[in-house]
Amino acid sequence: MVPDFREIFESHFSYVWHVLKRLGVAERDLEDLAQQVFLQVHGQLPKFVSSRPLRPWLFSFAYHAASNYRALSRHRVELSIVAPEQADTAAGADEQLITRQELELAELALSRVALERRAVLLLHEVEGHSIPEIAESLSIPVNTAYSRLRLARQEYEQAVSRLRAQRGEE
Amino acid sequence: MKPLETLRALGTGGEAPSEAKQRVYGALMASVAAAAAATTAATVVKSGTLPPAPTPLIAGLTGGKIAAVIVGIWLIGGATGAALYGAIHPQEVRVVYVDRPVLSNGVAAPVTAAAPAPAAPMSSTPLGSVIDASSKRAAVATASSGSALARERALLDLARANAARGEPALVLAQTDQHRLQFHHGQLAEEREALGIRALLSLGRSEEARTRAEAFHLAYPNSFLTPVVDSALSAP
Repeated sequence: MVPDFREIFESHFSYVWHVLKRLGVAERDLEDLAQQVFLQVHGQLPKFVSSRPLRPWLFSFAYHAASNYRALSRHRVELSIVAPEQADTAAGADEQLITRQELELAELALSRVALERRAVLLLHEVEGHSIPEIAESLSIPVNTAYSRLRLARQEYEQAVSRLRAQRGEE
Repeated sequence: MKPLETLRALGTGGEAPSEAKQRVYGALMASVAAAAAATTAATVVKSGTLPPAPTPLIAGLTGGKIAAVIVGIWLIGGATGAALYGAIHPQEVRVVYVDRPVLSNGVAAPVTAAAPAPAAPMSSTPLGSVIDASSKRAAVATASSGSALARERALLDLARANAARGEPALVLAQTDQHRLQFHHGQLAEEREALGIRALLSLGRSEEARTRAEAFHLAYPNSFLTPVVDSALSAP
């Protein structure tokens, strides 16, 4: 059964919004890009296999939209981070111990990871999807997905170290 | 805490701004409606330009069989010759984009003539006014795919009709839709000019300027440059 478009929009607009933001779309362009994503979702909805998880499917549209967007030279220098106060409010007790500065640093370090690897990192580490699931969503071979994840973790951790060093934390 | 643990704690983000959500949904529905209308309009335009179906020439000639056979052979021979000539010397289809009156249902009237239209000074006419095809080379597109061009044209007709009605949000939605469907389409130049004017009408002047810069780079000799520039310099 094909899911209802309105329902998808209502339930997942915020998700798509933040994915676009984390994939480097500037604040002023978020509405346009979100519209593009949902327009494509609307067109492709009849082909959606309802047994598949919805979010990786939506993520793939956002990823392609963000990739095209960033391919334009005027957008390449943009770095977009989610404000820490907008991070998931349903965080657990342990997560609440994480300071605002740490979350800010995580977002900033994330923005330093190359887009194609960042997509895998977000889907796996932040959203908890399996690598085969991610590979299918992004239409890449499973080994490529594993490789991107490994490199993304390295890039992310190196970025965190650099940022901490700049802040004089280490 | 290890860096990856902090990353996992980010979660998928909070709620997006509700105003943005409403705006996007509104624009989305306008785009979907425009796409549906464009498909219908393209069908109308296409059917309006098709020549009438030929009637069978030998129908009803029950009397003179010999005359019918001779006429038939002559016609078939002529048609075959014309087809062969057409295959050997394919004619370039030249399409002139012109302004047309808007009908009450919001769809621009179809135009079948592809002859050059009389010249009109761009500085005193609105965007998309009648263009002299012989002197404005950029306004002439070589149609590689008639149906794609018809769909492009129908979509931009809707946008222009909305521009005339003072509905810049709809114009923007329709030009965005055109960009999605026909990014490098034959009417991309017109689309960009329309989009820039719509952004200005919506008070999004910064975006309009950015888009205008891209427009000037992409179409340095555009016949629409004066229109775009005068819109940008308007108070």
